Amino acid sequence: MKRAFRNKNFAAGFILVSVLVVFTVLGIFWTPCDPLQIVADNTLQPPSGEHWAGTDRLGRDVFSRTMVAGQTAFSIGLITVFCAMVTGVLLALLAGYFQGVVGNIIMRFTDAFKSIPSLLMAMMVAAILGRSFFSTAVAITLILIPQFIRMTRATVLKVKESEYIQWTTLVGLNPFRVMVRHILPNVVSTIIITASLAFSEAVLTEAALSFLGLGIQPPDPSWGQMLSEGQRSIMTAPWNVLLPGTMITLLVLGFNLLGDGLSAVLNSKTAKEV
Amino acid sequence: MAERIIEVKDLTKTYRVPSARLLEKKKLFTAVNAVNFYVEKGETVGLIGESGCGKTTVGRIITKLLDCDGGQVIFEGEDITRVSRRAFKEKRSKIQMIFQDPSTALNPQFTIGGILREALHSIGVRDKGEQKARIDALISKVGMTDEYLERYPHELSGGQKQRICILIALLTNPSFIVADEVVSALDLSVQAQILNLMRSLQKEFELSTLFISHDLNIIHYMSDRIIVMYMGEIVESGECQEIYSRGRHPYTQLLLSSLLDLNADNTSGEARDSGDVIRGDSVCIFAPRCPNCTEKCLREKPELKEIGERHWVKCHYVE
Repeated sequence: MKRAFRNKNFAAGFILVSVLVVFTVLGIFWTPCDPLQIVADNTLQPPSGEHWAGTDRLGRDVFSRTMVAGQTAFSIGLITVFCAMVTGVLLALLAGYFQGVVGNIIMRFTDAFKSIPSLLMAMMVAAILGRSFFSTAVAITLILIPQFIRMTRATVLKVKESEYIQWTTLVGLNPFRVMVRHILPNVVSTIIITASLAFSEAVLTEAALSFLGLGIQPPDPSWGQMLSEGQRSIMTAPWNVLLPGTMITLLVLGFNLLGDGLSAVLNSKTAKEV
Repeated sequence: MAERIIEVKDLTKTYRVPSARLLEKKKLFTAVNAVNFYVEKGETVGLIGESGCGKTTVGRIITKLLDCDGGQVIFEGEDITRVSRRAFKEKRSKIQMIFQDPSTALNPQFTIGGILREALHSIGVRDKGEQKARIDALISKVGMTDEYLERYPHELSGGQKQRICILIALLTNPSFIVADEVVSALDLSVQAQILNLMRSLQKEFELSTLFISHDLNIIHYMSDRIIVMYMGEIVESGECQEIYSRGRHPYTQLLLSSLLDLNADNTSGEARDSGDVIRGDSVCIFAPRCPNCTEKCLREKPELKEIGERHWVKCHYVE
C-alpha cells in the first residue's frame, strides 16, 4: 500500500476520489438546505452566505443538490460496475478457456454489442423499460459488459498459455475449477484496473443520459440533469452548471488517475506481498 | 524384449504458418514428420536435437497437451491419440510432464502446499489428512522439507522450484514421465543435483522417462537409449553408448564433434552451417548441411535402416 502511494497517479486519484466520497456521504446526513425545496421568489440567485453555490431556476439550492446528486452518481457507478464485472468476468473466463465454439459465440456477441453506440443502446433500453434509475442502470451495465469481457479475456488468454495452467490439463483438473481457482486469481489486477476505468465511464454515461433526459428523472437530482437545466441560463447564472460540471470532471479524472496508477502499481509488482 | 510402455507410430504434426498477405495461400510447416519410437518399461530414452527440431512437440503430443495430425501414440497397449478427454481421464495422471522453466510452471497465486493439494485433488484424493500423508511421504524424497509447504513459489530458488515440480509429477503416481529440458533453465551447479535426483527417483519408482534435451552430455548421463532428431525426423537411434561413441549419421557426428573436441582443430570435419532448407519427399533433410552430400541425397530420401542391434540410421551412406 505504501509503495502504491509512491505512484503519483495513484495518490492523486485516490485523494480525489476519497474527497468526493466524503462529500457525497456527508450529503446523506446533512445538506445546507433542502435539495428539493422550491422557493418561487428566490430563483437564479448568485452564490451567497445562505446559498453557497446560488440557486437554480426553481429556487433550489445548487450546493445541496450537487451533494445529493453525488449519491446518484456513486450508486449508479457501483451498481453498474459490479453487475458488469460479475457478468463480464464470467463470460470472459468461459470465452478465454473454451476458445472454440463457446468462445467464438461469446466474442461475436460481444463485438455485436460493442458496435451499438452507447447512446443508442441507452435509448433502446429507455424505450423498453421506461425512463428510471433502473433502466439507466441496465443501460450502463450493458454498455460496460463488453469492456470487461475484452480486457479480462485478453489476460485470461495470456495466463492460459503459461505452463502452470497447461499443467492443470496434464493432471486433468475440472475446467471450472481451473477457471475459478487457477486463472481468476491471476487476472484480478486486470479486473480491478478495468473496474476503475469503467466507473468513470459509468458516471460520464449517466451524466450524458440524464443531460438528454433519458436517465434520472426529476425531481431526483443528478449532475447531468443539473447541467441540462442550467444550460438554459448559462449566460446569466453560470453557477448552476459550474459546480455539477466540476464534480463530473473531478470524479472522472479521479477514477482515471486511479486506474492508471493501479495498472502501473499492479503490473510492476513481480513479487507477491505476503 | 521388455514391455513397451509407450509406442509412437508415424507421428506427424503440421502447423499452419500465418499468411503474410491477404489471400496468400496458407503454408504448412511440418514440425514432426512420421516419427516412430518406443520406450520400454523402466527405460529412459533421451531425445536430442537442436531447438526447433520438434522434440518438444513430440513431448506435448505424448502428454496430450497437443493433438497430432497423423499417427498413433500407444500407451500401455491402448491407442490414446483419438480417445476423448473424458475417456482418457483415468489414464491422464499416469503420464506426467516436467516443464522446462520451473519459475513459470508453478502458479504464483498458490502456496507450494496448495499446488500439491491441487495435484492430489485431480486424482481424486480429496481428504485433507490423506493429502498431507501423501505429501509428507514424498517430500523428503526430492530433498525438501514440509517447512516449504506454506511458502509461495517466488520465495524458492530455481533448483528448489524444480524439485517441487518433480514432486508434483510424482504425486499422481505416474508410470511415464516426459522431462522437457528440465535443467536448461538452471545454474550449472544445480543442474547436476537435479539430474542425480531424477536418476535416483527413476530407479526407486521404476519410472519410464522420455528425456528431452539439446545437450548431448546430459542425455548421455541420463539415458539408456538415444534418439537423434533433426528437422522433425528421427535421423538416428540406438543404445546410449553406441551413439555416444559410434554415432554414424553425419548429424550425430556433428553433434559429437562439437561436443568432444572443443579445443581441437577439427575444421575439416565440420559441416556447413545451416544452408538453405530444402524440404520435400525426395530429398534427405540433412543434405544442405551434410559434408558428405552427394547427388543421390538430393534425389532420393533415405529410409531408417538397421545397422546394428537396435541401432537405426537414416542415411544412404551408412552401412
